[in-house]
Amino acid sequence: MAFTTDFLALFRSIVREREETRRMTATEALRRQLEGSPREFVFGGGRSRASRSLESFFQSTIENWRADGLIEAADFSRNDERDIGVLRLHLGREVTLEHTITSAELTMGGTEAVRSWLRAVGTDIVRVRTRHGLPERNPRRRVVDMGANLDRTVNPPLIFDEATQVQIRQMYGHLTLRPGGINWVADEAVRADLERERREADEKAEQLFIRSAGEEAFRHLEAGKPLAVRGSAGGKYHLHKRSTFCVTRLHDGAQMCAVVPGVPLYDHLLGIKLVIETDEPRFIETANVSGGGLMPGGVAWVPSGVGMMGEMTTRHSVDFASQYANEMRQALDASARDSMLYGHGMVLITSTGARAVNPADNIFSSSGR
Amino acid sequence: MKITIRKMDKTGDTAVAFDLEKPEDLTAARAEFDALMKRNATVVAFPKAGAQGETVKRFEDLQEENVVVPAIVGG
Repeated sequence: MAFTTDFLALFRSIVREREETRRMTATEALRRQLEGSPREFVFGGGRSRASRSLESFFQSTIENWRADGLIEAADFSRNDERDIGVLRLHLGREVTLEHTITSAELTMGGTEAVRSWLRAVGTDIVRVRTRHGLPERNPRRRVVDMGANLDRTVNPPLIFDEATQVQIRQMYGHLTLRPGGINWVADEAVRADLERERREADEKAEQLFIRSAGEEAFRHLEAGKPLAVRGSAGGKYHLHKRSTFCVTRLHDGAQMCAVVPGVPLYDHLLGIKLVIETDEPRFIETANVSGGGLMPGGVAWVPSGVGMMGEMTTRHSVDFASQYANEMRQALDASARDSMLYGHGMVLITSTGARAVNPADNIFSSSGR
Repeated sequence: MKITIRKMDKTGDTAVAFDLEKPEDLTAARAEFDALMKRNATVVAFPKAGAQGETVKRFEDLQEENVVVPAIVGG
């Protein structure tokens, strides 16, 4: 692995510059206020245990990705012109991935910003690998993980009752790798009966889906294409034919996961579709979210990169984003109009309010940097 | 009016038909609906098969075809 730059020294230098600005003072004060318990800022210190911990965390994360077979090499560099750090990852077969972290994120978020950023990068690595047909994980490691998961699911792993089988199919059915050494059903005759019942249930669910959503929608999903779904509150989504994270929120690309428990796949898909179409707030309250950046309606996303929260549900996001955006507006003066916060997406704070920014846009030129 | 309530379950769905003109069916249908509401199920009513559905919060709003989605959970 090529790891070419002293990560910590790089960010120390960035942060020292930032600490001298008024914006730094304002945002750091705000961060402490919002967190409720003031703590030492880690990047500026250098000597602190937290700094060493950060360096170790960064390097161990990279090393874990490499050991998992997710990346082949990584290098980190600073782009002075854009005032960002750039992490370049080589995933294999000439597929590379580049992620950046800004000085504003670092000055405001400290270690939590880096942790959150690396989590987002980790998610993106898997996504890009899948898109390019690269294996998701080191196969040997995946088998071990699968075994561990199943051991936790059934202990002891004997004969599963029907409900458990349905549950396990929902949890693991989308994986192509079949766990070994598990007696799904001891008796062949029982197995055949259950398989027949499963097929009948699947067919019945498909019929209900067609009856309620139409044959075109069914064919669409069967062809592996995402089905457009309009929420009752106006949100736009894509529904995918899979049991987990079957919904993509188009506004920000977030993957959302809610399930209808104990039903065949097409019942699950129809159920999620109907709930979105008729009771979108319930879906948003319930679903877990991975990735994404902006809430429907343009509400600022919780900037997890700022270090306030780690894994969040959407319910947290809505409340916290509103609170955060308001407090930011109050705390930052006009000189801070270019301040940026970074979560899984970006929010540009201006003197008049917060504005959503597509992470792919060149926000540096638009903010005069 | 005759209504059908299709409850999603592990077999795909289980359909129960009620003739609301009959007092015993009306009572049974109302009890069924109340039980579903208590379990936080989502009931979506379709004026007819294939039509746009609407979520139902009151028994009186049930339509000819009604699909019951068990309470969803975060995945």
